[in-house]
Amino acid sequence: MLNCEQFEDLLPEVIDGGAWSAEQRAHAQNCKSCTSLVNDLRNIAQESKYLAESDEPSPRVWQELRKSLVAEGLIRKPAKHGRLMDFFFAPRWRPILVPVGAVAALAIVFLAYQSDRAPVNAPGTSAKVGVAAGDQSNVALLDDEDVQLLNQLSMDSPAVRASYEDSLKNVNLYIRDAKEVARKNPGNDVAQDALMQAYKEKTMVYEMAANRSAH
Amino acid sequence: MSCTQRAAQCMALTAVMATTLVSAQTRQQKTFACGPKPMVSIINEYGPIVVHAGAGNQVVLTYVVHSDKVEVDTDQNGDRITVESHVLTPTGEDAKRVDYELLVPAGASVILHSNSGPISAENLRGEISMRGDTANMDLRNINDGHIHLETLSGTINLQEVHDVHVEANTVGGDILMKNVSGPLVNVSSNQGKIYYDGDFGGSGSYKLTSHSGDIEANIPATVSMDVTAKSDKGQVDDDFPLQPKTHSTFTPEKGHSFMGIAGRAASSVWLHTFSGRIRLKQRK
Repeated sequence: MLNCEQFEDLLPEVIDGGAWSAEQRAHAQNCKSCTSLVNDLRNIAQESKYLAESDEPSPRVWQELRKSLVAEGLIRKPAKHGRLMDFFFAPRWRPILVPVGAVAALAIVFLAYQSDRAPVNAPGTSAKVGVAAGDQSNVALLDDEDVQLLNQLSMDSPAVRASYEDSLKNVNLYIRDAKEVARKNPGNDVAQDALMQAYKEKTMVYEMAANRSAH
Repeated sequence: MSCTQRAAQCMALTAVMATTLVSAQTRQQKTFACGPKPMVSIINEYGPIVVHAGAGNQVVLTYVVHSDKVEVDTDQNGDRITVESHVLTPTGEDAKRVDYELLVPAGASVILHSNSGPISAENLRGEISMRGDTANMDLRNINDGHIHLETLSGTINLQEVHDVHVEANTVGGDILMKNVSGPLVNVSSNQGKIYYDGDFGGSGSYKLTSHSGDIEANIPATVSMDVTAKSDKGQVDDDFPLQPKTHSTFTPEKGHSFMGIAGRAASSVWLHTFSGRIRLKQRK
């Protein structure tokens, strides 16, 4: 009987239209998580066929947008492509490039799903602490600056480090949640205000740590 | 060694330690002449700071040093007085501790830093700034001026604070407010609970925000406010009769937000939490 890891290793064959083996079929029937993954990947592959057919805005819209971006200095004249780049980005290749891009996206999703099931970093390292599988409510991401700050505070006392680590995790959770709400509600003042408040909290923690070091 | 002998040795050791401890504590007092609105700052790594309003144009500083491993440095330049605990040799927390008590003119401005706290101030009218990692902060009978409080896990307690611009931030601690009003009251706690018991008076702007902490406001029937409350993932309970607002760009979502006005809508009140619970109650 296959386990989930073995099943995932054989997935690309199934998604590409290959036939199920008896063992794969048996595992899929008993494992909701793997069945759900297969369905998601198949949907992505199916939808990618229609991407090339979607309507594009009129050329006038693109021109106006480009003018605005140039005026703001956000885009500049493109560098000259080599002949190889011109060959691959010629209009005749676009219908092929889109499905190829979709398959690449599919591969990225598959690899990301694999890495989510990887074990969390061991404690005591200076690498990032990721979200433990199935326990997203407790552990927040600490970025490199946070880890650096905590290492400096470790010279003080373990209790001080623990206090700041706890605070940083909580404010990072706040930032993460506020970003998610702001992303879903772009232009919403309430969402932007909450995000600013979250960053303000993080600034406060850093200022307090700096103030501690200064005295 | 018999039990009696062991007990006697323990008692003797305890007596010696107590004597050593008492003798290491040093109490001192310093007086600084100043104007009616001096600026006083105290930087203290460990130990309480207590500030009261005193009589006359002077600052009276009383401190207790708990070991010979820390000393107190003071400096005065006109109306600016600075006090700092200076650790001489690395040592444990208890040995670094200095207890401060300060008597200042009521119009004084104070900057108080103590990592452990607690920090307290009462009967003042000037600018107050407090900061401490785990310091609990207590402010009572404060009028006019500006209060700025920052702590990681300390609890903030404000009572009888009127006509004051309040900014209070704690990550893990609670914020408790009783009869607090002013032109601007912004308080935020990431995880802790925010509790407000008052009338949102003074035609001010009130903003109570948290990430996961609950927010509860207990207000009288005579309150005059324009209130909006929102919890992105949590629940809101509106147990106060509100009139609908005639113009608003905010669309309430049942169970997660509400808005309305009471009285003449003199004050603006904004209650927001990401996943905590919000409760607006009428005081009985």
